[in-house]
Amino acid sequence: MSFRTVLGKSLVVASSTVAVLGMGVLAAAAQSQPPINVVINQSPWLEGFASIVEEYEDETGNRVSLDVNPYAGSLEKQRNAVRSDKSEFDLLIVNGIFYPEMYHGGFLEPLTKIDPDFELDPQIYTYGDTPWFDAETKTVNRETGDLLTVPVNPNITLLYYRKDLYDEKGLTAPETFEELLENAKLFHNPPEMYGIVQRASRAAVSVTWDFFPYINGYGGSFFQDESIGDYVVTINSEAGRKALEMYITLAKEAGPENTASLTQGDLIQFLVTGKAAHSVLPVAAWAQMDDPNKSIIPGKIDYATLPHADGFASTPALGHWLAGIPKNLDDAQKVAALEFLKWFQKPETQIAYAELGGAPVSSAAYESDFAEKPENRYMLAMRTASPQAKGLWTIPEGAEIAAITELGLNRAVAGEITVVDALNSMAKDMEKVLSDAGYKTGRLPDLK
Amino acid sequence: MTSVQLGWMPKYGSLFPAIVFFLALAALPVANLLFLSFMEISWEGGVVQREFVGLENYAALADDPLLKAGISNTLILVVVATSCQVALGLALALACSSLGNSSRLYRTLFILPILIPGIIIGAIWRLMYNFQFGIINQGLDLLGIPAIDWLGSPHLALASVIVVDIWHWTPFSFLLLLAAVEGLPKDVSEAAKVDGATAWQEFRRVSLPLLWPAIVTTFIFRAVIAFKVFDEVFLLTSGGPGTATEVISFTIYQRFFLQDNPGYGSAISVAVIFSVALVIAIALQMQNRREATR
Amino acid sequence: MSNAVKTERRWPKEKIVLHAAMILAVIITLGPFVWIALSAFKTQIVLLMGDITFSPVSYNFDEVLFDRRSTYPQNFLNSLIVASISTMLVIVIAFLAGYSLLRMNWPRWVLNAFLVWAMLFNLVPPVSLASAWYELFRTVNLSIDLISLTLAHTTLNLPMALWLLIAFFREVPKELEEAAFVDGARFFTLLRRVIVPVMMPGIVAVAVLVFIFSWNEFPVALALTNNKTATVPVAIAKFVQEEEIKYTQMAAASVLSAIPALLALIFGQRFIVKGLTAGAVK
Repeated sequence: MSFRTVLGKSLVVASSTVAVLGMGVLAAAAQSQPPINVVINQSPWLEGFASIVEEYEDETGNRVSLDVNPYAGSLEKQRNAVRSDKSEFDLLIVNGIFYPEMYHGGFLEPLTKIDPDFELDPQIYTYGDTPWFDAETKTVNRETGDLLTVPVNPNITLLYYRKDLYDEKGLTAPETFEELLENAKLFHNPPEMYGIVQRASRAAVSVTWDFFPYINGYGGSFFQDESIGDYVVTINSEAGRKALEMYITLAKEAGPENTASLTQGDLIQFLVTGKAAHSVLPVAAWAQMDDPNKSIIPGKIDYATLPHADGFASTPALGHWLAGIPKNLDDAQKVAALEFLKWFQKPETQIAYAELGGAPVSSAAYESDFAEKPENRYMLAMRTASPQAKGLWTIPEGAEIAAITELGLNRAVAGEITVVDALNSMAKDMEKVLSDAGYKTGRLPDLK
Repeated sequence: MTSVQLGWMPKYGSLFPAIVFFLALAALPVANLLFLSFMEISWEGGVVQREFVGLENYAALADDPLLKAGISNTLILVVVATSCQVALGLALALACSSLGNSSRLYRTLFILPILIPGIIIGAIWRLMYNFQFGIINQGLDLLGIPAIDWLGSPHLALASVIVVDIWHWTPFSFLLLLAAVEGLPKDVSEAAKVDGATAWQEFRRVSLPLLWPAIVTTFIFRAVIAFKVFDEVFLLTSGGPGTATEVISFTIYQRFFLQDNPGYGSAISVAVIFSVALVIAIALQMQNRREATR
Repeated sequence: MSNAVKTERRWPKEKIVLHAAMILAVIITLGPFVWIALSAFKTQIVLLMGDITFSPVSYNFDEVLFDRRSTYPQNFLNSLIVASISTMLVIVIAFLAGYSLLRMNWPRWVLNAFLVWAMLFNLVPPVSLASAWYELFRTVNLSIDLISLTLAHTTLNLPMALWLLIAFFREVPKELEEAAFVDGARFFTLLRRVIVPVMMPGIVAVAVLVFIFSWNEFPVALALTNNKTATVPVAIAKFVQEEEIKYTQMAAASVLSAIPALLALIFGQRFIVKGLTAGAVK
């Protein structure tokens, strides 16, 4: 070994040692916040979220650990934490269906109370204004409410359809339910191909979530006007009847015979095995469509915002995730958790988040060049769909209402009861739940 | 009598650890359950609000449609599944025992299903039962039988769930009854054989009475665990179609946890526990009497 | 079946029939198990297509064991610790209590109270147990420790062990002990030399069950663990996601998860036989 190589090597070693030491010092100096612990559920988008968290750690020197839970277990963990004397988690990643109990129960600290200057970045989608809650009137309200959460994941429903088949026939994505029915019938050729697969199985919140865009797409709703606390039940309206009839017609004329027992997993199975032309699924399922280990139709699915009836708006259902900070924490922990959210919501973070395989919540990402790439085509549909999405409900009694609608809708699709009976009886039971819980309620006169 | 010779130290000392565990860890959740069942719990500004509502939660049990379906389905499941499991388990145990050492491999293989966590049993059997893609319908297709909607048909769904439960839990009965059969004194049945009894007579008059306590215990215990069936149903059917496979633990999960109504959820649990206690007490009484007459 | 059982020595043909029946039972038992095991070597699309033939892949095991974010080896270790220690605790405590209750002149009501209590505890819904214990262990600062889960599992499985061991104790002839007393044996010598050998098949059977129950327990483990202390069922449940059930990874994880209990079982087999031959029953 020559002297020069030895010298060269030792120089390299020395300089890299200095560099490592220097970085260590820098990181230590930059670390301004105590470590935080985030409770989150395992999901297809977790990998992206974990990657962006690592970026945050590298950039700021702050430490973030993720407590990853099974989907069904995350809510239980969060409940236990916020109800104890001191939460073991500094940031809760709350589901868009179960967040109302966190709001109504008063478990979350208003973010402006931690930092009066904090504001939601203007490019972040607000998903039916669900980040704001007015504790006085107990309503989700952007004008009068406090900012309680920052969205972290946009999981809303999209229409999945077979672009290759559409191209063969020279069709474009359906905009109305009638067009959807027509196209679905066109491709319906069981058992090789089903025109549309819809979910109608009964679970915690399953068919209810999938039916929601239909009833809203016909101009109907579950309640009169939640934003002002008017909980008169309106599911048994003309719009409700048309929507449920359309749901069933699609199933009967262009769907599998066992629609009433299909779960989300089944819908995905139909799509990836090339046996369905359309389905309605949350956006997070897109990644499975193009993975050759999971699908025989990679590249053949395209996405669109959900159809609607003539004269009404497309209304995807919200199943998004929100990040909130528990009240039962030390101030320093709250500040540290908010510090992460501040960084997370920045437009440049959101674009990086998308590039890391995450599911961004900012229009900055959906309008970036990244969204224009063909492999990210779902993002184009999200551009249209995100601002139009609505939540099922904003009250903690949602789970109780879901128990009613899951059963009623499931039985109607299965043909056990008629559409009219299903809607009338659901309305009656929903009204009872709401009035027992003390809401201003009532219901439309029975359909005939 | 034995205890006289042993003195009080072993008598109390040997029961002590069990009492400690019961009092420190088991009593609290049960007391809590009982307490909650008379309460209405809500949360206001992050602070718990407990309101005493007396028997209101219990009164509400009567008109809970889910509970009604849950009770009848659970009873059917418990009786049918447990009976099959005990019968199959006993048959397999007797067979294994009589084959002696040559049954070593069988013994291990028969236990396998119980090693699989319930959650994957639900997920995988759902795939196997799948109407369009499932291996069961593929098999039927080979035999020329049209596809059957195992989990989607309200008439078949519960039976399909029961089949899974039998498959999953027969090893439980098998293992316990095998231990009981192996523990049988050999000389008794030998003696019976020498007396010229037929195999059936010998089983009926000698083995069965000796095995009876183990059979009853296995049955009761298996039944109690079957009462809590949850994991499998969760991914198989989630209680559907309609309420065809709704089971009590599901109703409790729905009311207690999903709807976050611990008061009412606890009332269901307490009522269930009380009813089952009654049944067990009767069964125990019967067993005791049987023993006394022996 | 029973016919065949007792007559095999007289008519060896019966033995062939018996083996045939056993093989049929094995096929039925094993079918779904094999299907799960095979799923672990499939890609998701092959599984979902329902293809019968496939070329096996190992990536499910790779993902479960070696993925950058996989915690499975740690989960496995946690389960091993919790299940082994809680099983030992359960067996010792239940054995002593069972013997005491049955043989030491406790009033009948004490025995019955224990039995009924033990049975009823089994019916308390897991979700209520989990939240009550979470509160309790947090108050005494144990929530992040495997100790709390071990204690919880001991409590959970104690009733079953007590019940079953009592049932086995009932089968032990009292004459055995009385003979030992005549010899002047002391309490622990009596248990070790006389009772345990006779009870061995029962103890092993119950221990295997308790181990499996602890190993597969999910709701309480979920509430009392965090990422570092999670057990195997919590890890497996993570494959059931909101939009995707990772069937094949789940199958791989389950196959791996079955190994310790399987070993315990094969190992336990020898003990059952040993316990029998060493026992003074004959």
